[in-house]
Amino acid sequence: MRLLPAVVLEHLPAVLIVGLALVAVSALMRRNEAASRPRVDPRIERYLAIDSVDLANPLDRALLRDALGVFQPSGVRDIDSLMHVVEDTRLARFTDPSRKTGGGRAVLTWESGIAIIPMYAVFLLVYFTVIVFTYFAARALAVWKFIAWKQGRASYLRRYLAIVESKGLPGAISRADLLVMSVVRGIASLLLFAPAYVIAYSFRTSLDTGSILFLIPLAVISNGILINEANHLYTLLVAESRKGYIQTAIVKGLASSYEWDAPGGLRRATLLFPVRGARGHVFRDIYRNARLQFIPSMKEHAAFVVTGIVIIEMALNIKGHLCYALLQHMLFREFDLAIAIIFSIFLTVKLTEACVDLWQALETRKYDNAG
Amino acid sequence: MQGERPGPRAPLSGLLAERKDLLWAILWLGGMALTWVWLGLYLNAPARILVGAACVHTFSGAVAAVAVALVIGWGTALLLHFLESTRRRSAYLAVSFVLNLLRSVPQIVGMLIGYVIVTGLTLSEALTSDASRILATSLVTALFVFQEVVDLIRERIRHFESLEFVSALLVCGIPSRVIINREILLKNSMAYLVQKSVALFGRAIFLICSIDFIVSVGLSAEVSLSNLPVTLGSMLAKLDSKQDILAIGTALTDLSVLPTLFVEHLQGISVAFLIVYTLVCVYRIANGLMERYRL
Repeated sequence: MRLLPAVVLEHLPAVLIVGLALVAVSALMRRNEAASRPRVDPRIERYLAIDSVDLANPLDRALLRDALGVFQPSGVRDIDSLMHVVEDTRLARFTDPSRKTGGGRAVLTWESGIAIIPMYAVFLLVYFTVIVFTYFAARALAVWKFIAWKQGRASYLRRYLAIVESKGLPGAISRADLLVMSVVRGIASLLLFAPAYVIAYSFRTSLDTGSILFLIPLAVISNGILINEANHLYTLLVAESRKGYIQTAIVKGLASSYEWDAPGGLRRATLLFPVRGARGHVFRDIYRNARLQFIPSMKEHAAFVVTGIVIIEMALNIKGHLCYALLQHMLFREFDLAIAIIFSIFLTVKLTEACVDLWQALETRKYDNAG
Repeated sequence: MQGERPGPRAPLSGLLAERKDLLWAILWLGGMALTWVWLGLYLNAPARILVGAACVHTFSGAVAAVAVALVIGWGTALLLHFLESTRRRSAYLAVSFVLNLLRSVPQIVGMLIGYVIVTGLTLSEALTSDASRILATSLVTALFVFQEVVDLIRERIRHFESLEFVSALLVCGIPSRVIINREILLKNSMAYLVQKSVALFGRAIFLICSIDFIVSVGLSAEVSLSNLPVTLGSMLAKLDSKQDILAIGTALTDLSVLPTLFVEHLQGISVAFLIVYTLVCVYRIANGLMERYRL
């Protein structure tokens, strides 16, 4: 297993550099934040700190003004101006957004860091479940589309239009089922491309959109993730099927019919198990070679899946989830906590990339003649 | 091999099969026009103007993002090719490393950080006009999608370099930059670049709408619709639009609500439809181009 250290070595520098850069950014932001926070003049602060005077009370304010007029503190020329500044500073304690959060924003400490871990665990659970489901669903969809293409099956709308053009109105009425199927497929298509928040808000009145059981299927089907992944594999299958070695294999007599369950055809199980289901069929080789090229693109798909989950958790304001917490920390300018969450998301992507590289290396080794 | 043997087709179904890109472009524009007519009939004028402005801002932002991505991607690909061909290995590795790093940042997270910066610039009045804000957000979007252009251009250059075509031109005395820019990319890869631009346009719309929705929903304490140009995403995040979308869920359980969706809840429904319909059509156009030119 020399592969593992090589893969780790490839990704570790990026993790270290990004980690260090984020620590630097966090320190910089903390400094800027401290510098930008309005400082109260200690000369004003001492008036606000007098316990026996309630400056919210007009009588106390008037008493303080009179007292200042009698004692004439050094450096104060205009008592009214001083009283205005004291009043403004007092009001700022209630109205200044930087003080509203209690003056003490949450910072990255051992406790706040630990608090992120359960949210991160849930994020990982959702993420890896979505990745696995998306992979298998996209694979089945791509194989189905490829076989339908090989069978020469046109879309419902095309078939319907062809009937209308050749048989006129009677044909249009007798095969209206094709039109209905076409509409259903159109709606399914809209659903697959719809951003998650559109779907989620549509179902919010009848479903608990904050639960993981809703989150996972939503992340699989929405945001165009499934359809894009399936289309990528389908494109590779088509490209592979046009290569010379496939034509040679067909000429040499390898089964190449794409009819379902026909002699020399494909079993329907191929949709779920493309390698085992297509034993003795040319599709098996097409699929295996297409998959080899598809594996590296899983890195990109993983990043899209993360994007999808981030969008869902943020857009639906799902409390207690990692990305919602990220948004909240950004809103309250708790940048070091936000940066810690961003780094955890980056680590997830890097971990996936390392796994994909390892998978790719193991797959390539299978086909390596020297190995 | 039946899939590759199309028989004689009637004109309409033939167009559906052979010029899918054109067909979907027509369908997209037609759908947008129909929606606009419907909005003209049933949506009040102020809301209609707002939807129109949101469309213009979103689509112009996406076009700008694609243009910037093409420029950055083209430049970066040429830089990488130059560094590789002149054997400046350390510089080549450094640029590749940065690109891979950028690739590992999920687009939405990167854009969120970019939007925090754009918001900061807006609040400090460094970005005053709508155009400057749209351009700034387009730049942020482009930074997270331009890698696809880099990959495409590098792949095209590698493909042609493996052919005798490039050697023959070099022997004819044509400089390598002319071979790459004119012969390989402009003359022999235009279909690829157009297809990639269309696909990026769809991706940019999705990202712009999503980030605007998130920012409007989650960061609305500091960012209001008045200081960032309204887009389809931020329009959808408005309370009345969200209520319109919620009405879809009600219609699923109470069918009597269904007819009112397209008349009384038009603002949110039309904005959601414009986003989703555009994404579907753009995807189909990009796919159609890929099939037509066998990319």
